[in-house]
Amino acid sequence: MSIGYCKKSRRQFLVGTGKSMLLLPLLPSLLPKEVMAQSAADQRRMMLFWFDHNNLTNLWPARSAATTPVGSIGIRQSLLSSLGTATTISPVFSNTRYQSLINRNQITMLRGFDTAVAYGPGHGNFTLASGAGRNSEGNHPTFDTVVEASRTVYPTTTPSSVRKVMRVNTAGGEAFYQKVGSSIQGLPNYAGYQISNFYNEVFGSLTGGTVPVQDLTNQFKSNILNRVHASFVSFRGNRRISSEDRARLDQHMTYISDQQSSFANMQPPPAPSASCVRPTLANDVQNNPVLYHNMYFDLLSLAFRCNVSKMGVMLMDAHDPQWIPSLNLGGVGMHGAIHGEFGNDIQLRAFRNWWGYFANLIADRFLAPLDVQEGNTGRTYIDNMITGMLCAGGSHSLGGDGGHSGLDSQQILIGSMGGRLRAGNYVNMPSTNGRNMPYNTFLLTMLNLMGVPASEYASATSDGRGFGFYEGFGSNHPFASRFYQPITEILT
Amino acid sequence: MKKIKLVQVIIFISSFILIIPFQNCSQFEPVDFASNGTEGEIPGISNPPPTAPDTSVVRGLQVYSQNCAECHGLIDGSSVLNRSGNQINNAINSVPVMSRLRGAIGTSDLQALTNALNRQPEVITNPSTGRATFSCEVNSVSLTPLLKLTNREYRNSVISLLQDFSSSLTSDAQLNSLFNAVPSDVIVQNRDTLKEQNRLITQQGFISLFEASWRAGGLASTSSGLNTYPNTSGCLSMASINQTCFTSFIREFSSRAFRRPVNVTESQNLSTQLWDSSLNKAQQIQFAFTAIVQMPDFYYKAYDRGAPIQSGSTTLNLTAHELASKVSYFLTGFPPDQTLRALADSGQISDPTILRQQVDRLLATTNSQQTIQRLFRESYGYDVYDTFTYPSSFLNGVSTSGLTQAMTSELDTFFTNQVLSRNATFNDLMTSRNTTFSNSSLGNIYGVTPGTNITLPTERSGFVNRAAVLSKRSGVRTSPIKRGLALLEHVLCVDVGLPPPSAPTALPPYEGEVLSTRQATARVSEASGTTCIGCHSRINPLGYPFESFDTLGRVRSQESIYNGMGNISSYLPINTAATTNELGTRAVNITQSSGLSTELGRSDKAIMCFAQHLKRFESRVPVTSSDNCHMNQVLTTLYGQNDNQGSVTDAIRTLILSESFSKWRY
Repeated sequence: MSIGYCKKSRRQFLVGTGKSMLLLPLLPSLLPKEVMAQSAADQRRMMLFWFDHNNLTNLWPARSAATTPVGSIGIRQSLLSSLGTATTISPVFSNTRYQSLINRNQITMLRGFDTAVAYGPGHGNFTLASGAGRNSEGNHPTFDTVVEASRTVYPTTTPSSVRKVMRVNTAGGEAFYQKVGSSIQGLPNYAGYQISNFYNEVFGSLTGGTVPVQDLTNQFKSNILNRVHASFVSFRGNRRISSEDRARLDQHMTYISDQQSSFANMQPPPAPSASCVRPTLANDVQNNPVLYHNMYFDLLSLAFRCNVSKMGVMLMDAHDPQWIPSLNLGGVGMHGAIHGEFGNDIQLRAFRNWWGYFANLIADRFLAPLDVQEGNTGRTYIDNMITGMLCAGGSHSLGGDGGHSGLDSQQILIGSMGGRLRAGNYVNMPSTNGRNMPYNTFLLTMLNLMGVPASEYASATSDGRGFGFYEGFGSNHPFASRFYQPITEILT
Repeated sequence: MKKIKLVQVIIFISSFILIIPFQNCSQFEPVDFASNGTEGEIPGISNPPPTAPDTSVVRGLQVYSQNCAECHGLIDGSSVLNRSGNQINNAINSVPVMSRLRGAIGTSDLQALTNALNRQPEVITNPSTGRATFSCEVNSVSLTPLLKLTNREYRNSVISLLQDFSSSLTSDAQLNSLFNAVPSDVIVQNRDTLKEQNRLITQQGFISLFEASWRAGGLASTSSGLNTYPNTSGCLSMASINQTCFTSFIREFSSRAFRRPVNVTESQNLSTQLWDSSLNKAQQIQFAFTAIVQMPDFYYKAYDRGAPIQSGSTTLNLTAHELASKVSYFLTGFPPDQTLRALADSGQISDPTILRQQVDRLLATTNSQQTIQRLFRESYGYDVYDTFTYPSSFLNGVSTSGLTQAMTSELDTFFTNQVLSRNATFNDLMTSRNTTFSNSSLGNIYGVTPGTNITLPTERSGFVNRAAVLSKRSGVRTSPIKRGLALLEHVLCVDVGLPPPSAPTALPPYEGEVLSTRQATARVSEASGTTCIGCHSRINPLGYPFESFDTLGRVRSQESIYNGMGNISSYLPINTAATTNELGTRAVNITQSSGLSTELGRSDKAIMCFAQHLKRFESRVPVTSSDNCHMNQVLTTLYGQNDNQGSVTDAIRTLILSESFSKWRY
C-alpha cells in the first residue's frame, strides 16, 4: 500500500470514528480543533460528479417507467427498486454498492430536464452544476460558487481552515468556473494543478500524522468479494441458465455478500486519535492517472468525513483512452467516440467503460467510506448528504452526434440530505409539447437542499435577475410558472 | 442370572431393530419388475414397467415444484426420488412440516407426483439381439443444469493454476491444510452411497474454498514463476507492474482459469475491475488470483457458448473448449491440460479421432485413477460403513484400526487396476479374484498374505465378495437384509424406497429358541400375510448367499451364536442357497455367493444398471429418459458381441464419443 492514510484502513477508520463520535460528542475538548463546530445533524454536504458527455439515457429506465402521479403538474414516480436490479437499471451500475443503495432507497433518478436555453444545445448549458465552464459562455456564476458565497452555508465565523468548495478537474484540459460577482476563472487539469495543491488547500490546516499501519487483510478480502459479486451479477444476467440455476446462484451470491460484510466488520476500530489527521500523500501520484484518480476520490471522501468542506465538484470529461484502464477504443479518441463518430459499438463501449470506470470509483472509493453511520444521527454519511452523478448534456441513444444534447436530461442523486429529499424514486418530470421541466428548477432544488435561501441565489447573476434565470425559455414556456422555484414535489 | 437373561433379551431385540425397517414397503412399489413378469419372459427386462403418461409426469413435476421443492430440492437431485404413493401419504400424515399438504393433494395429483418421482428409464428388448435396452427417443438431450466444480475439482483446478507459476507451490503445507479443512461435499445421496455434490453449495464450504484460494493467490504472488508467466513478456518480473502488464496477466490467467479464451475486451474489463494501483505487485496478483478463482466462470461449468443445433433450439453444441473441459473433468477431475487447450484452440478436439486419442491419453494418466475410484464408490457405495464395533472375542486378533480405509482402498485399487490396466469387462469386475493390498488385518480376513496382484480364493469372486461390501453391519450378527439391499439398489438399480414411518421399531422377543441370522431374518420379514414380504422377498435372497461370510467378511462354515457376554455359546449351520427373480432371469437358483456374482456379471439388468451409473457419474445428475439413447450406446459396448463383453474403458470411450456428449440443453 502506497497510501498511508485512511485508505489503508478505510472501513476501520470510518467505523471507528463513527463509534468514537458516538462516545465523545459532548466532550468538545476532545474534538479535533480543525473540525467545524457543527453537529452532524446540521451538516448539509454535497458532492457533484459531473459527466460532461455521453449519457445514453435510452439505456436507463424509460420515462414511462414512472407511473404514480406526484403533485399536480404531471410529475410521476415509481420506486426505483421496483424497476429492476442495479445492473438492469443501468449498464454502469455493476458495482454492488449501487444495488445496496437502491435497496435502501438511497438512489433517486430524475428524468426530463431541458437545459437548452440561452446558448442552445451547446456546452454552455451544462456548466452550471460544476466547476466546469466555458470562457465564452460566461455571465452566470457556477453552482458551486453560489454555495461558496452563501453566508447561510458558510457563516462569517467559518474557520479559515475550511475549504468551502473542493474543485477537481480530471478532464484533458482546463475547466472554468465563475464566482458570484466575479469573472471566469480557470481550473487547470492534473497537468497544471498538482494534486499536492489540492491536498494542501483542503488538508493543509490539519495537524500532521498518519494513521498507524494496520492489517488490511480483511479489507482486502472484502474488496475481492465485492468484485466477485459483481461478476456473479453479470453472469447471472447474461448467461443461458435456467431459473432454478439462477436461484442457486442467488444462494451463492448471498454467501458472498454475507462474507463480504463479515470481512468488513471484522476490522477493529482505529484509535480515536487517528481521526482527521492529515493524510499522507502518496509519492509519484501525479504522473499516474489511475493513482491520482483513486487518490482524489479518497481525499474528497475523507474531507467530508472530517468536515473540512461541505461542497465538492469533480469534472469528468472526455478522457482519452490512456487515462481510463482498459478503455480500448481501437485507437480512436474518446471525444469522437462519445459523439458517435466511430460507430455505435465504439460509442457504447466508450459509455460503458468511461461511465463505468468512474461509477466504480465513486462507489468503491468515495461512497464506501461514507457508508457508515454518522455520529448519532442514525443515518449514514451518504444519507446525510447528496452525492450527484450529473450530466445535463448527453446522447439519448446510440448513433449520431448528440454528445451533449441538453434535452430530456437525467440526473442521479445519492442520499437524501438527512431526509430532506424523498429519496429512492425514479421521477419523471412532465413534458408538454415536447418541452420539459427547465433544468434550472433542478439546480434550485439542489440549492434548496443545501440550505441556500432564495435570497442568496435570486440575485446571484451579474444582471441581477438571479441564479436560475434562463432567458432562452421565454415567458410562454409551459412550465414558466415553475421558474425560480425548487421542485417541492420531491422534497419532504 | 436374571440380569444376564435380561441383557440377552435386550440384545436380541435390538438386533432386530435394524432388520425390520422394510415392513410394509411392498404396496406401492414404484418399479415392480417382478410383479410384471409372465411365464417365459424375463421380469423387468422384456416386460417394461408401466410408464406414466407424459402429461401425468408433467403434472407431477408441477406438484413437486409447488409443494416439495422447497424442502427436498430440485427434482433431479431430490432427496425423495423413487418414493411410492404410500410413502408420500405416510409422510404427509406424519411429518409435521408437511401437515399443510393434508387434503391439499388429491389422488390424481398424488399419482402424478409418484410418477414424477419414479421416472425410470423404460426398458425394452432389442429384437435383433434379444438383449434388454432402454427405450430411446432419437436426438433427445437431457436438461443440463449449471454445475459447480466439486471440492475435488476446485482444488485440482487451483492446483493446476499454481503449477503454471511453479510446481513446488502445490506442496505448500498451509495450502493443503486449508483445502483439507474444506467441509466435505461428498455426502449421502440415495441410501448408502456417498456422492460428490455438483450443485450443493454451503456457506462454510464457500468460505473455506475462499480462504484456500487466498492462500494460493498469496503463493502465486510471490512466486519466481511470475517472471516467466506465459504471454506477459516477462513484465511481471519487474518490481512494480503497470496496468498494461496487469491486463496481459489477467488475460492469460483468466483464460486458463475460465478454461476458454478470454478476449481483449473481456480481459480489459476484468483488469479494470481488479486493478488497484495503490497495491503493490504481490498484493495485486494475490487480489486478482483470488478474485478470479471465485468468479462464476471458474466456479461453475457453464456450457453456453456454443451454437444451437438449429435455429431457436435450446440444445447447443459444446464449443471446442467446452468439450475439452468436459472431457478433462470427467476423466481426470482436472481442467484441460496444455495439450487439450491447444487442441481446443485449434478446434481439433472436435475431431472424433483426435478426441479418442485424447480420451486414451487421459485414461492413461494417474489422475484418471481418482475418477475411476469415484465412479465405483458412488455407484456401489463400498466406502460406506457401519460403525465398526466388535467384541474382542469376535475379532480374534484382527485389528480394526485403519481397517475400513484398507478395505476401501483395496476396492479402489481393484477397480483402477481392472479398468485402467486390465481393460476389464463388467463380467471381470464381477468375477475377478485379483487384488492388491498391504493391510495385514485385511490379509487376516482374506486368509492370504498382503501383496500385489494376488489371486484370492474362489469364494472371493468379483468385488461383491470383498470385505468392504460384506462388512455392511458391524457386531456379531450379519445382516442379509443390508447385504441384499446393497445389491438390489446399487448393482441392480432397483430402489425399493424407504420403509414407512409407521413401521414398528421393535419386535416381540423370542425366548427359548436360538435362531440363525437367516432364520431370524426370514421370520421377522418374510412371514406370509405381512406387508413386509413384498420387499423382503426381493431383498433377502440377494443377501442370504453371503451368509458364508461373517460381519468382517471372513469366511465361515457355521454361524457362531454369541451370548450376552460376547462369548460364543453355540454354533448353527449356515444356509447360502437362495432363489431370486432380480437378476434378469425369471428365477435363478443361487447356491453360494460366488455363483451370485457370476450371474451378476452376465445380467443385462446389472449391466444396464452400470450404464446408468456411468451416465449419472458423467452428467452428475440423476439419469432421465432423455439419457436413454446415450446409455444405449454405452450398453451396446458393454454387451459386446457373441458373449464377449466390451471393456469398461470402451464404454467410457463410447460415452464421450457419442453425439450426445457434445451437446447441452438448457
